[in-house]
Amino acid sequence: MQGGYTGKYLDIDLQNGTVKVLPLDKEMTVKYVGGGGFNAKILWDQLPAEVDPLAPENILIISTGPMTGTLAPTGNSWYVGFKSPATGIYGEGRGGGYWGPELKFAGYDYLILRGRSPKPVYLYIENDKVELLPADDLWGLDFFKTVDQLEEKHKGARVLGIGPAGENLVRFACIMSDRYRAGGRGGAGAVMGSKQLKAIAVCGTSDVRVADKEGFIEALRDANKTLMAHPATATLLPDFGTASLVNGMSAFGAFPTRNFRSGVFEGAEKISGETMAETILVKTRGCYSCNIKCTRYTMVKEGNYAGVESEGPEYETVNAFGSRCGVDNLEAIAMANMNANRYGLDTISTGTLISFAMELYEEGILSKEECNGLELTFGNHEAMNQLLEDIAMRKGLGDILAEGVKRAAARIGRQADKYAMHVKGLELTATEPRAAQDSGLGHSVASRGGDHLRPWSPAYTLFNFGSEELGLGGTPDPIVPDDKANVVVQMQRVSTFTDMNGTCKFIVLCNTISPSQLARLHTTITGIPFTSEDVMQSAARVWNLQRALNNLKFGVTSSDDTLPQRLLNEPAPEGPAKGKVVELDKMKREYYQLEGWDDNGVPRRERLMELGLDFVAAELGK
Amino acid sequence: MILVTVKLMGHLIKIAGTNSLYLEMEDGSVIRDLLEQIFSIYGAEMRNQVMDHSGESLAAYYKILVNGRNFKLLNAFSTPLENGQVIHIMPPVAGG
Ligand code: SF4
Repeated sequence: MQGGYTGKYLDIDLQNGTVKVLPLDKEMTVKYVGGGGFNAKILWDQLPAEVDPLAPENILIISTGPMTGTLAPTGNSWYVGFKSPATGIYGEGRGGGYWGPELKFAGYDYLILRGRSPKPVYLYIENDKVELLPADDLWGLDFFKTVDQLEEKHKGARVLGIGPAGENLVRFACIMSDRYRAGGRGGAGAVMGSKQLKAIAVCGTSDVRVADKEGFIEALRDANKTLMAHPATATLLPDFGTASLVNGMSAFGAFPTRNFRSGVFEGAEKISGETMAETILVKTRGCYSCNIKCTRYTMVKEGNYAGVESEGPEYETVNAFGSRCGVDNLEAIAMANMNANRYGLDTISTGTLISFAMELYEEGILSKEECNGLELTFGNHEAMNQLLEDIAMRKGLGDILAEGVKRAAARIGRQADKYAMHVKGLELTATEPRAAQDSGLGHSVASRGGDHLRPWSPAYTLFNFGSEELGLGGTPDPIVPDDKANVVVQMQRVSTFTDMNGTCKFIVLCNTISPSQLARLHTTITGIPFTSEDVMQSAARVWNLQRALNNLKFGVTSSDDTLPQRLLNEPAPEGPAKGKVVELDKMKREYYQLEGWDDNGVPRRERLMELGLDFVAAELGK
Repeated sequence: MILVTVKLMGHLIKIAGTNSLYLEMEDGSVIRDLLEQIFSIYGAEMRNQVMDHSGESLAAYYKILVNGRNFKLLNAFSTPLENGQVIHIMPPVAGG
């Protein structure tokens, strides 16, 4: 086997408790690299199209990339793949920390989990020993307590699992690892809960082999030099974390506020990374093999929220529980963040749901009784924190919101859908697209629904981090739609590749590490020769395979590639984008052309053949 | 006279000891005049952060926003100041 891969995976049937150890197919590594690439291919091959995402027939894949567990910068990612209970389409997510490397040390590149266990169980993996063990005493525990118990029982093990939100099938419950790392927007945690699988504790003692050690050290030195010289990875992320974005995004009018009524938050400074560094920050931390160490370990020492401690809150979370809910109290946001981690809730979706309910309350669509007796006005952080718990435990209004914003709006009726901020059922993230048009396009076409990281193009369009290799330079105008499709395509490729290779997106987010540097790392680790074109091409292959899954198995068409009406029809009320709406049609047309998709948003036959996806092309028009 | 608000971000807050300045500028002033005013208050440390070696351009990755618009999309250093404007001086920012 090449370097970078262990050469084995586990296929686990929870229904009858069988575990198979199977060899990794070499073609998988060459064509799909790992992570999201493996997930998409396995789902294409094995998932019945019509399956209910919460039925035993759904498949949950947890995979790694070739760099996971190596000394490559941020070589720590694990990736989940599944049919999403929030969207009914392709679901995926990425988490960092230490769990992914440990799975590789135990000897496995990925796990496929099938069926539903008759009783709650957890999976224990220690090298060749793989066991399903009873989890009756873990079921119902929050994620932190689950980690405590399993770490106590299995010394040295790393733990991934779900909290009560996953058990209660909240459609945006995520999978957590290493206590604070989350992955699987779109309800991976609910899929795991539906399988009655509480956790996976893993412990391994092997190394991940590198094909060309000397070449790798060279490539590593070069990559680290770039990371240490770039302001994003050398200074801003280490010093202020991802929340360093808060003030900047608000200055650009791109910081979603009060359920996207506006993109300017008057309280931004109070909840910024700068304020965090002065107040609740205790120390910084990093994931496995990461020198950037963007993670904040925070603690609230006094006041109503004294005793709150957690990692984060990250930029997205500060936005979700901060400006989106009209809250400028950093301690209250830290509380919501901690509880979301404990319950295993996706912070982005949870914040969206709460701000949605707040707007419905303020608009008189929901009464106080319907809001579990809460005075659910924007800015009421006590009510926000209470509602978060009600969502996790599915109490009253929380039970409706736990269905995700699209379903919740349909259930509430009374034109609530006007305020539901999602794409394809996945709640929107912390960029106001009227102020960064490219982000509107990115959200509308992303393969898992309303998604901010495939790509985070505002790094270029707002913050002007360009890339010579991608041909992105100068000062683009973020509030006009011109030339944005190309930006999204180029950056999406690189971003998708980090969803395959095992690294964290932050090494490419600001166009820091280039495609040719990724190619060098990949080649030296795996021994599979990759050029920068191969990086772009393999990412395009995986992106188009995910798209084809959505089109051909889950029925996605061009009309689904859209945005909430508010962003398309209501002009931004203030800030630099005042008077602007998202001009999506123009950007989408250009984007389809660049991708080689037809007017219905389906990849054309020639494009699929060119990408080596003949088996997909064969399904077209069936 | 023109009254403008200047918002400082990231490491610049430490140098200035504050994140907001309210400055009175003469009619007809442009961004370059505003910067000179700021450098005259906070000295070489501020200038060396914000400007490159030549003193003619911003330091790498620095940005100036005028009411949220990148000043390069306006008239850069010659962008006229107007009463009530908010000017951000922004070091490189990252995240996601
Ligand atoms: S940059 Fe941050 S999230 Fe990414 S690997 Fe490093 S510490 Fe983890």
